[in-house]
Formats: sequence, C-alpha cells, structure tokens
Amino acid sequence: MHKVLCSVATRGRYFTTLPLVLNAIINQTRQPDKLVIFDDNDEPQDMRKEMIYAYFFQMLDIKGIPWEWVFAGKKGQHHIHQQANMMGYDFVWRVDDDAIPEPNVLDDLTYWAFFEDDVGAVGGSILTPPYMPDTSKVTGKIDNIDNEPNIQWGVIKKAKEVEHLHCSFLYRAGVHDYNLGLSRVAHREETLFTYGLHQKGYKILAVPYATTWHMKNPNGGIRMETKQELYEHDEKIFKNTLSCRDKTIVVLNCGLGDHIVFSHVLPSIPNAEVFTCYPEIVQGQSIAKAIELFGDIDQWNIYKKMDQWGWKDSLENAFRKMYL
Amino acid sequence: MIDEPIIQVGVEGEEQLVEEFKKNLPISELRQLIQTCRTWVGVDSFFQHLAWDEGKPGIVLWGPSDPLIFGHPENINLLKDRSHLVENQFIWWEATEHQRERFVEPHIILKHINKE
Repeated sequence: MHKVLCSVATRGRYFTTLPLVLNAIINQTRQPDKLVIFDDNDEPQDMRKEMIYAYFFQMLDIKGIPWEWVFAGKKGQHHIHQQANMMGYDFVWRVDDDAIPEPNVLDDLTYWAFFEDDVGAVGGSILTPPYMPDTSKVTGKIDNIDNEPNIQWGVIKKAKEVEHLHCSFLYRAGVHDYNLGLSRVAHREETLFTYGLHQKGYKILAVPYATTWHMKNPNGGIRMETKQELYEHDEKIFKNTLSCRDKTIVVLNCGLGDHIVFSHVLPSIPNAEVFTCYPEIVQGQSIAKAIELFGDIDQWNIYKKMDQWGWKDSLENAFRKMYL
Repeated sequence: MIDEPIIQVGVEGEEQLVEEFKKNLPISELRQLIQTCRTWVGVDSFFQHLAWDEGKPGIVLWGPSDPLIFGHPENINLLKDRSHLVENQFIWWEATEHQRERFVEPHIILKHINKE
C-alpha cells in the first residue's frame, strides 16, 4: 500500500484557519500515514499550551496518525514542500493553511492517484466563495494559464487530464523537485512543480467530488509578502522555464570527468539544451546563464540525485535515469 | 621492473616521481598521449574517464570511492577492500582525507602493468 504524507505549511494563521484545516485532516475518511505541520511563522510558538491544539494533538494520537510539528526556515513555501517531497513517502498531500478539505478528499484523491502507475498529481476543486466560475470548458493547458481560470476554481464534474494544478493536491513524491530558485513568495511554485511532473510524462488529473474550501484570508498566509519585485523575479523564472519546455534542459554543474561520461549519454537525449562547466568537453551555455534563467540549478545536481536515489549503479546510468 | 619509458602526467605543484613529468597539459594533448601509451595507471580522477573516452584501457587504483559507480569495467580496477569505501559516495571528494593504506600495494600494480 502506498504511504501518504500530509504536509501543511503555515504562517500567521494559528488562530484563524489553521485549526479548521487540522480538524478537517483529522476527520478524513482515509487517514494519512503521517501529518507534518511546517511552522513558518515569524514568531513560532509552542502550540501545545493552547487548548484547541492540545485537543488536536490528542485526537491525532487517538486516531493513530503520527504527527510532527517542524519549525521551518522562512525561505518560502517551496523549500517546505521540497522537504516534504523528500521525506521518503510515496505520495504527499499538500494542504494549504487556509484550504479546508471535505472529509472524503484524501480518499478520493488517493483513489485516482493509485489507480494507475503513471499518475503524478491529483487535485480536486478548490472553491473560494462567492467566486466559483464555470470551469467545465477549461483546458488546463499551460499555454492557456493567463487566458482561462484554473480548473480547480470551479466545481469539477468530470475527471480531466490537465498540465498543472495549484494550491492543494496529492502528488507522487521524490520524482520531481520544487524549484528552490524562486523567491520567498514562491509565486507559481505549484504550477512549475506540477507542470514539471507533466513534462516527465506523469498524468496530472483534476478530479470530481474532492472539494476543498479555500477560506482566503487576507491576513497571514505563507505568501504574505507584498514586494512586487519578488513576484516579478518568480514570474521571470516561470516564463524562462516555459520557453524551454520543448527542450530537455541539461545542467552539468559537476566535474570534468562527469562531463566526459555524460558526453556518451548526450546523443540519446532529444533536443537537449545544455549548460556546462566544460564547453571543450560538452558544448553549451554557461552555468551562470542557467542560474539566471532558472534561479536554482540544484535540481540538476547529479550527485544529489544519486544520493537521493541511493544509487549503486554507474554514473553513466545515473545520467540516463536523469535525462532519458 | 619496467623497462619502458614512463611519463608522469599531472599539474604544477605535484611531486615529481619520474624523469619525464608533463604538467598542465590541455585536454587535446592528453588525448594524444593516451593514444601513444601502451597503458596508464591512475586514481579515480577525470583521467580515467578521458582514457575510457579514448578507448584505451588502463589501471585505476581505488580507495574511498566505489569503482562500481565511478569506474569503467573496461579498466583493471584495483580496490584493496570494499570496507575502505566511504559510506556516502556522493560527497565532495575534497573533504575526504587521503589515507595511503586504503590503496593496494605497489607490487600488485606492477604485476598488472606487466600483464597488460
């Protein structure tokens, strides 16, 4: 049976919507295998002394849901999600701290996620009353992201394959990284992440009957930053990533020998856009250019990947796993 | 023990071990040298990959890094004992202290050179 981690990132909502979210998680008809609350508050508190939280923690214990309260690093939501992504679970259900799932949501999302081996992410409706547009005609394609509402904003009546999701969803863990080059507002982080899963060949599904109520709260929230330049920085990374979407981005931020080994893999990579440390071995643009375009290049760090995979095979095959 | 010319290849600052020491060669010259030599001996560095790229098998001396991951089966990979491998194979190797006892003894290397 697949193991599911429920991950909640929270900031500034100890006494508004976070209790509603925790209550909703505790009352899911399908329990997660673990709940982690990532506390990204400017002044984190020990919530065990608050009666309502003491009850929540007691309920989690009674229901047998292991839980952990982690003080996050104030680097932004994407860092938190990447941490959850790498915790060794098969799937992660990410729930925003102002998004209250109905009791059946995890059960329904896992039904779709476990149904086939190639499902990367599954999301249901994320409704923000009173704005509930008709999204039945929405394509969910990345090209239309600026021209149509997100499919999750309306009541989803029929399962549909899309290219990206937002807010809260269930995703296959450990197969794609969050872009840690985004600023701390992490604008577009979930779009980039789910679209990355789509690019890797996984299905992204918007499914019916899994409704989450988005109690949008102007106070608090993981994105309470207002600096416009941070959003512009992230939007640039988003646009740069999309502009390379028909290519396989290769970033060789590694040693000379690694470049030589990689040169034997390169001919098999379709439409490679290469960024390299040693252009005399593998031609391409500079690593500085990759950082400028994509913000973070650690997602292409072959050594980090081999470490994550517990790799025992050859370096050449590690490059093949990464790029083919 | 070896009645053939031996060329040491390395970078400025390394200890000279034989009469002919070629320092700081560009990749293209290293490739030429690999093509002209009968065999070569090295440690786990870019050179073993370059020689592999040139299709010239040689002898690689292994210590803390794993030849099953970083080596090439075409070479003679001399590993003294897998117990010397470091647990995390994916760290920066500069952080690994050199320990001579991790490597095979010279007579074992000579035996393989003469066999090549």
